[in-house]
Amino acid sequence: MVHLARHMQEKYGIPYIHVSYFGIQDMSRALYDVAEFFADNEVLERTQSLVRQEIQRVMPEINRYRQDLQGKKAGIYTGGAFKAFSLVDSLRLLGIQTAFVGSQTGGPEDYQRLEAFCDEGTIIVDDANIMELVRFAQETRIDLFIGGVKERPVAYKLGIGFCDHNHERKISLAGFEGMLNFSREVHATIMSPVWKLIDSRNRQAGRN
Amino acid sequence: MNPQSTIAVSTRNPCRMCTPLGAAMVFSGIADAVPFLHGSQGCSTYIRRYLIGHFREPVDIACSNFGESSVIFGGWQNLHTGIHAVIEQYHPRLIGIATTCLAETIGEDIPQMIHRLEQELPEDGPILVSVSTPSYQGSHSDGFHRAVKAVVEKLAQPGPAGRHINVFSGMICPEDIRHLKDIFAEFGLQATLLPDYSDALDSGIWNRYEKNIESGTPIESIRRCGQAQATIEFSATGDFSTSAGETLLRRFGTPLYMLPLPVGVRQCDTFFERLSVLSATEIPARFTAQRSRLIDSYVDAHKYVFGKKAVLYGPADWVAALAIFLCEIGMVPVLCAAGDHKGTLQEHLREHLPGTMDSITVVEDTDFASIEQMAAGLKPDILIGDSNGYKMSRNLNIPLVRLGLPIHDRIGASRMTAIGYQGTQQLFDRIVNTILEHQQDNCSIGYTHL
Ligand code: SF4
Repeated sequence: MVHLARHMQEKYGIPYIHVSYFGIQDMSRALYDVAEFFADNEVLERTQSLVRQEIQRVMPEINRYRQDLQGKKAGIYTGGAFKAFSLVDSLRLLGIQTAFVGSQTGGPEDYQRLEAFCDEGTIIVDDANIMELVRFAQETRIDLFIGGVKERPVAYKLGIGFCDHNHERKISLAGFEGMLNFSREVHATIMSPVWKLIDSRNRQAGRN
Repeated sequence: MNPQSTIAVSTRNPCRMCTPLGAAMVFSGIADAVPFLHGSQGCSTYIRRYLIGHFREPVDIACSNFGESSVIFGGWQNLHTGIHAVIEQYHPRLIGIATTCLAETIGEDIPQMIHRLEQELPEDGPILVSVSTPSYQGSHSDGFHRAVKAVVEKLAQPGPAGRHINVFSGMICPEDIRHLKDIFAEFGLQATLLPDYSDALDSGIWNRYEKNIESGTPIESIRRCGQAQATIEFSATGDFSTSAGETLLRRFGTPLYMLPLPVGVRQCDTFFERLSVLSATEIPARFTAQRSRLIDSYVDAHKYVFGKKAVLYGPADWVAALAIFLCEIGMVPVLCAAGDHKGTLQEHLREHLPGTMDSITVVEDTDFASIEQMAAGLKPDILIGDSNGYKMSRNLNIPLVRLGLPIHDRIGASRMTAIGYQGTQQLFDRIVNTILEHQQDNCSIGYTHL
């Protein structure tokens, strides 16, 4: 997408700004960036009131989920590195700590920025294969794995909750509504009682 | 509360069927036995009609065909004539006599009549078992349990203790009965399953007209119930008054294990672990594999069902087992409605589902009008119960997973299993797929992958 935008800027002189629509923080930032771009006070005011309204609308439900999810741990493995930032941030909002995060196509500077962005102790993973991901997942005892649909059955076999984050999704994750959807899904997969039926020997010790 | 609500309201669309229906099913599941209703013909017609609609099999139920004079002078003559006619036609080894409302209302002294009949029947004549089943006392499920108890009371004999076990499963579908028999065989357990209508009410194509009374629990096996090493009885609500296991415990000291219906992983575990102890063998690998696959499927579907609200209705034992199963997979049984009255459902669920009772309403002795009213306010995602809930499903536009009896608007009532890891798997798949189908059909986009 950035490639396309850059191309359009070069060829037609159409300016672009780089935003993420995922997560409350990034979504609000994106709206403000757009408003600021136009440098129109009225637009800015309307944006502020919209963001305020939306946050007031979604936060009570998100706060309810956070009560259950506080202290849980997640692992993230995305295609591009850009998404990972928004995910770490959104999980934070839910009280979930990111134990490891990585991507397939991230470059060295992405990882530097990620490292600075994440909490201390978060493992930054560069282009890992499934065996390595499994090892990280087990060592860090995560409750949730965020990755592509192909990783889903592996997470499930290991008794780990899962949320996919790619183009195949049917339930949107963008915007404020998307954050609600994300929170509901993360809450469902982590809090489902089915994990209790999995033999504790399969499941990493120390989790419930 | 509005003062008028204390005025008795008549039952509107009962959530149960008549008591002798359950008794008739039991007698159908005993080898060489014929069910016989003492009362008016309409009762047997009604019961046969329901059983035929459900099982889609021929169902023979004899009847003493009360007329006006029997109501006034008593039904002895009719009973006498009827029993002799049945003997002549079927040559049964046992006749199971269940009373109807009318016979009970006029106060027929059935035990005395049976005594008189027994005196005049030849030595090798049929055994007569009677059970009191007025429909104003209990439900089809109670009638079922009472009939099992009556049979055991009449037939069980003392004798040298054996290794075999008794299993009183309550009302389950023929495929579930077959599966139970399979399970016992795999454990190497000799089990007397009473009743066993897995053939009588679910047989193959006939080559010629048959009376088909030969199949079912052998009478000899029932006689040996008092010599068993233990009894397993599926009952969540622990009603001793209708428990055949209680009879055996009291009369012969046979240990009684009242277990919940084995639906869902945990309730199945309880059952399989008990069998493992009784057979002194490990749980066969086949079942541990089924268990593991079942859990794997729970995981695969956990997000589809999490937090989904269900309304359950039917006999209390089933409602109890289903509620516990649903909680195990992350669903919320917002309304647990028993058509019969045990008085212990709430307590049972509270004990097994600690911390979740705030979101669960439990009612007993209820009817469909009340269930629908409550369900409308609870906005459930799914209903689980028999076909009589279809109107509610239609009115509220909430999908219905059919389970129980009667199921007369679908094919395969005999194969709608729920028992054991294997039966649970089928039920689980049906529940998840019904939820997915409803979502898919009601979504404007029409996704083909979910
Ligand atoms: S009269 Fe009683 S026994 Fe007969 S069909 Fe009606 S409810 Fe059943």
